[in-house]
Amino acid sequence: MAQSSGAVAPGLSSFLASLKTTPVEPSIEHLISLLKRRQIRNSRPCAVATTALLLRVVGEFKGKNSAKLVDRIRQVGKRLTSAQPREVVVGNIVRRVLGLVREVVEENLDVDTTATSDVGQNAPHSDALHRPSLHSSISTFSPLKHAAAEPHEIASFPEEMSDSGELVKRPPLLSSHTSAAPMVNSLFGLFSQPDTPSTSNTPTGHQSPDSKAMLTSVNLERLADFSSSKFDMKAEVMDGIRELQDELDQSDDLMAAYALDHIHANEIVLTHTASTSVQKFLLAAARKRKFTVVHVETHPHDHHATHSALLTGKKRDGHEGEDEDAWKPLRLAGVRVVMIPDSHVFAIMSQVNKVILATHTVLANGALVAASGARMIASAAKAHRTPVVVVSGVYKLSPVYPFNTEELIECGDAGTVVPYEDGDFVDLVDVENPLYDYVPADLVDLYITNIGGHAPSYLYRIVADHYRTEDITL
Amino acid sequence: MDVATPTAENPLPTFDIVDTYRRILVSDPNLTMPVAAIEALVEALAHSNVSTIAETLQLLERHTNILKASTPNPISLSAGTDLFQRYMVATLNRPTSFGGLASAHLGPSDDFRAIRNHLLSSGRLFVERAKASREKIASFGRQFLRDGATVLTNGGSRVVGALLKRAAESSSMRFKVIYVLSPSASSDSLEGQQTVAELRAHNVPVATIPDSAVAYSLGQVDMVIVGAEGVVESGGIISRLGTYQMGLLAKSKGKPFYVVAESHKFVRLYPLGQFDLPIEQNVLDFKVGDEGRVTSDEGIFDMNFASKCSGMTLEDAVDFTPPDLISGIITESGVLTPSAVSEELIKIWF
Amino acid sequence: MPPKGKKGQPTDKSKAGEEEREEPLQAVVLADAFETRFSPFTLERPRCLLPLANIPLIEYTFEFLANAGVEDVYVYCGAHREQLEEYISQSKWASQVSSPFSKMELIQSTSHSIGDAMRDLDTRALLVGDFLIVYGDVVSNLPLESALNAHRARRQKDKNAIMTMVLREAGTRHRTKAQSTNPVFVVDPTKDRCLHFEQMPNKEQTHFLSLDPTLLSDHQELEIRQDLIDCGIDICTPDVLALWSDNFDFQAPRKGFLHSVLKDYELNGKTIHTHIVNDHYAARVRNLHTYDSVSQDIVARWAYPLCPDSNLLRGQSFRLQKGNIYKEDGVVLARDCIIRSKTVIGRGTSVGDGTVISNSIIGRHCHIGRDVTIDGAYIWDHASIGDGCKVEKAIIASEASISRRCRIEAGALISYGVHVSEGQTISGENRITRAKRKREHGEDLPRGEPDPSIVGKGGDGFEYYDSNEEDEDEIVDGLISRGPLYNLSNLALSAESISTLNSESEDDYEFSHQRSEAGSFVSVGSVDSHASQHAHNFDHDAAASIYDSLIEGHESANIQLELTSLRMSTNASEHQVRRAVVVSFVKRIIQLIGSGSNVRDAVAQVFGQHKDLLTRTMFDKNSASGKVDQVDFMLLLQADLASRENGDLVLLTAATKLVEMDVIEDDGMMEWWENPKSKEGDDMVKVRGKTQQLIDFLSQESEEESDEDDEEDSD
Repeated sequence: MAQSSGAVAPGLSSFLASLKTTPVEPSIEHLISLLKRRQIRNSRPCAVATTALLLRVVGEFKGKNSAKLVDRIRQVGKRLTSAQPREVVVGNIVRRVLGLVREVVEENLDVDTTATSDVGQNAPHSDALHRPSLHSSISTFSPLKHAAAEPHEIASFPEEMSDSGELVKRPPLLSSHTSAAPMVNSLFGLFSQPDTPSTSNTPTGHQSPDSKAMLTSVNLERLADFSSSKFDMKAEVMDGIRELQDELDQSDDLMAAYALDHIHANEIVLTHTASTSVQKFLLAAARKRKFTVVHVETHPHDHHATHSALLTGKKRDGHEGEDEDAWKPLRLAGVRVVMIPDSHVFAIMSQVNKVILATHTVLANGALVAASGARMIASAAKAHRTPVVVVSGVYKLSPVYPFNTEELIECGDAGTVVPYEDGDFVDLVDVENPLYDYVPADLVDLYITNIGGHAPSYLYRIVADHYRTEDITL
Repeated sequence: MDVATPTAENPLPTFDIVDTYRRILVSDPNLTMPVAAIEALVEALAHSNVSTIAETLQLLERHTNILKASTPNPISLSAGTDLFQRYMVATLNRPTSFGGLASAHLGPSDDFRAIRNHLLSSGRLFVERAKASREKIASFGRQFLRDGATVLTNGGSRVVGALLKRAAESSSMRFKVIYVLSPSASSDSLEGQQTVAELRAHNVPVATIPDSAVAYSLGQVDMVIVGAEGVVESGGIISRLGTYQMGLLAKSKGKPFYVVAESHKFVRLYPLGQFDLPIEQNVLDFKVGDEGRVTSDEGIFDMNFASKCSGMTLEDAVDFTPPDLISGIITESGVLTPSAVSEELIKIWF
Repeated sequence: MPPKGKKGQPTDKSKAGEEEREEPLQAVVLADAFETRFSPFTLERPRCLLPLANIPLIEYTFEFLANAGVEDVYVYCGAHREQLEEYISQSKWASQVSSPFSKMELIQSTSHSIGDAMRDLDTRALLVGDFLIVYGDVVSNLPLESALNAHRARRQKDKNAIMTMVLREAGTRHRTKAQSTNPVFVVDPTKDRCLHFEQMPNKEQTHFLSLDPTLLSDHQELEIRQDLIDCGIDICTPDVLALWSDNFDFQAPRKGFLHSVLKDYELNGKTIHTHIVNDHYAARVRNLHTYDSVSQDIVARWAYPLCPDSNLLRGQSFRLQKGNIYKEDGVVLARDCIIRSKTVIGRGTSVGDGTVISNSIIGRHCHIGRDVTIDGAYIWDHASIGDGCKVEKAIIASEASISRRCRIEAGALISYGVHVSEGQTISGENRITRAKRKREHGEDLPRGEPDPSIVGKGGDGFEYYDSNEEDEDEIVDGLISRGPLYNLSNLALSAESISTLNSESEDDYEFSHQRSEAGSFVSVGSVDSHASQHAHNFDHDAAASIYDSLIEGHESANIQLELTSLRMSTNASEHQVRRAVVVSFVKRIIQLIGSGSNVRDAVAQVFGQHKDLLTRTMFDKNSASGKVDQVDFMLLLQADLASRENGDLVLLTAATKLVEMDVIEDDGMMEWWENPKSKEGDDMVKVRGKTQQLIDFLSQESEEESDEDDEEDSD
């Protein structure tokens, strides 16, 4: 113990390790405190930790009622996100998992329908899964809303939204729904559909969210009983989560696969931060092509990692030590690397052919939150008409809408800007150290994710494909 | 397509769609044109004694046209009527979707009747929902406005008004409003004044400025919020005259420009520019110093309309704000990027 | 104990394979530092529950421990135990689910000083392996693993490396450093070993640091550092506790323990090491001054991630806005009030029109009226401030209410529930409370009479007076530091205070140090805390050296010489010299007695040889009026013997001997006998019991004289 407690500060690795042994509730609390203490930070570690935790949560979940499972996950998600609202990725993962559960449930409802025809009307069409409605796919809630702080007119929202996901499909299918709460999120929202053959005799007065809730729960009940016989919801969901974990692992390599399309011979590429994604991306290109990388050191909060990344290709970046596998540094890959201070960006931009940015979070409106300095780089690129490419795994893509961009930006330890020893300075001067920048969509030309390249304006579509509208607001 | 089998001999009932429409509008001040139109159509359906799908669709078609013709600016109205029509087509065809329309007559009539009953019975419900959606949008105001923000808005959009009011009610919010009001006494600007009054009653500092002062005051503004008569496929909006220039200015000043609109205002149009709108407005009428011609011109101009409801005078004129000026469209179900709008429409039309 | 595994075996398993599971990392939290630095607030609440940036102090400490991967936590609480207990039991640290600690234990001890606590701890034998000692007021985001590893590595090599102090580098001037005292560490940078420690008074500018010359010869490199923040984070081994209990006269962990252990390194051979860090944040909220500066640091995010907006407490919802403004949801701001930068406002607080708030920390559910100006103030939960008030850098505790148009000047402290009525001005020196003294267990605390002259008519509360001078020093370290002029006056005060006999001193460990030392020094005479650092240094050194030379049987002349030099260097008072002499002599005597020789011989041997040494300590030989020094000497002797076994006998013989030697004159002896101080406390009375005979003898003798005189007169 002495060894370990000494060597391993609480962090991602220790958390993952402990996850095996400790029960769920403490693990949740543990993760929360780690997030609060910033002992797990940055998108990837957060994502990994969250998925691992949720896998555990689902695993521990008793009973077969999927509605309960959804609630459980959602409630865990709320706690996590409010613990560290700025790590948007946590929320993303939770939403993904929620989506998974619903998918599993609905698939099995389809099975159900084929099996027992009379409930056919209740089966949402599979379109619902693959084409969730778009317009509600951007949350109306600032990512920083703490669960507690949500106005309660919105508290009733999830039920209402929960229709939309299933309602969204072509009109002919509309009435395959027994239930429609008022205010469903389709253009047809005005006209609800109480009168399908199955329920045409019921009075029209019965359309209310609760009736909807009632009905779905009926579905789920049915699902529950027969699932006990046929399929194991939990197992499927957990498989799904494992796939999600694989996605996290692979996303870098998948993105790297596109490198050659974007980086050409003898180009000068400018990038910043010691992002693994970007490094791998560049390396992939370096295998075939010779080009120059201008690396901005992103002083003060990331420059150590950056330096070591350039030198050794290993960012001894605190806690995510183990899982952060070392890669061959660019210089060994035959790439000419030039390191410049942040202040030099604009001057050098005129010679740069392409800017490649790493990111912290991508928001559904095409904007991104990245390490501070990103905006300066992006605007400089804009001024020089230099294309800006953002490399980001889909898991960083968040459905939340940035109402208040200031609140997305975290302010870090002032001590990294000015040493704390400098007593007079500390006393007399205010020091600020924002960790992130908000880069508006119009400064970005292209996003490269593990599923391909997209224009910023197209991101809403990706969001729609990956998140279920009913899960947008945790 | 719907009029595959024309049944001409169907007598037009004494029922006057236009009057109903007006009545409905007047009866409920904060009712949007599309919803009113839908209600009117429902009533039309009630008065008619159609029994087959084809007839129904035809009837709707006819009424819709009358309505559209009757109003100077049918854009937002048509949003409602089209929606309703599409809906009818969709639902009526559903049971026999394979058969196509040829077999529409022998569609199960009970089914048809059921739908009809539902429509007739739940006419009011539509209105409720329309209002509900507005309330929902308004409830976003809390996230929307930041403490100490200054909002620039214009026109008499009820949704915007509702949103601001809601924000004002949450006492922790401190924001100022700059309200663009045209000095004219058009219905629109009257509503504007009303909103201003209410906001001030809520102890929200409001400054009213003429269109000409927008650029001047933009320096103080944190965000621009406008309403819309219609949201077109491209994601652009059709809104009262002056919105376009606000958009341009906001863009040039780098201020976020939000549109607030219920999703039933989405209209299937694809205007390419200001003069591409399917309505005539005499915003630009070039004159030479000859009274006679001008007046006669006016006369002709008036004659174009079935009735003197409201001439498309300068006050009521609209303009088109292209999507690239719009940061986001706030509907009852979330914030859309302009590009998402088309997908919405595609979903109901194809 | 669920959280156990977290930083525990699993990581062991994962890495370093199967080395046997060593004992968990333990930590001792000294929740009560046995000081009155925070009076009057500490009258009603334990200091570690005082809110710092709206979070109780102890939370930060626990965060720090959790951060360091500690598993077992023992909290030593002094005053207000029940409050602390209640708080912890409700906090997330107690619950099995949420606490990162596998064990959380409160220890109530009667100890009046850290020394006692340590010894108590040793007797309990709770601590098996290396453990941390921190105060209940440490604020730090420092990851400890490097320090721990360094410590353990050293342990592997050398069992005698018993302790590692974690010190934060800070410039020569730093707001977060202690002002009244500044520690000087002499470090061998090559081995990170601390060679010498001295607490420098930085009041009078005469800095003296007496270094053992061997240090210079033994070590190629020496660093004498004064630029370190000593945040009281020590990594210790059980030997440390043993050491504590060996020398039961250690009270203060630094001045006492550290200083001495380093001093007689030759004796015990234990080494103490330093781990000096120059990144991350580490500070102790040791007094109001540091309270102020640490608060500022936290708001300015120097202690990141320990910031208000990371919402360490459950249910907090602070959000950061531009310019380090932290607001919780549900803050009600009037339309035209101005919140300036570096401000924290808690939930449910309402701020009126035209109010301007800057650089202040305001708790939850406070009510701030209209047109109030608040700058740099600390206002705790549920306080209310009336319209038109002006509050400067002051602390206004919970439920205190300030009526309209008051003026609270910088430095004022307004304690719980005080009510200041309309239009009053509270000056910077005022410390207003409603509590007379510390709340004992259970009993509701006694209310003092409201003092209208301070809180105005209808107000509630009165000026808080602390009996001991320690507070004079405290004000210097108060919220705002006073000018040097003031300090001088303190010195004056403390100087004259030296000879006064002070018993009510349990709060300040200087005093407890003096008094509760079982054996050597009894707390006759008190000293202002920093003066007493000398005092202590002197006492210790002098006593030690004299004692040694007594054993070696040196010439009293030499002893005298040593003594004076020591006295000069630490400018100790005559009183102290006497005390030193007495203590050492008595020690020697007792030792001799212990080694078999009978009392008379022992006394004769010890005192006899050193007549002039003794006489040199008393200068009122032929002053007709009062024999103050002699009385003092006797008092010391008596007090010292009071605690020894058959001290009375020793006292008798000693007294007789002294009279014989004419070191103490008859009058002196009589005066002492009459002196009230010699009668107070039963052990004092007891010990002087036997001496009665001597006194009788003396008195009648003198009577005879007088008789003779009479006769002479008569004839």
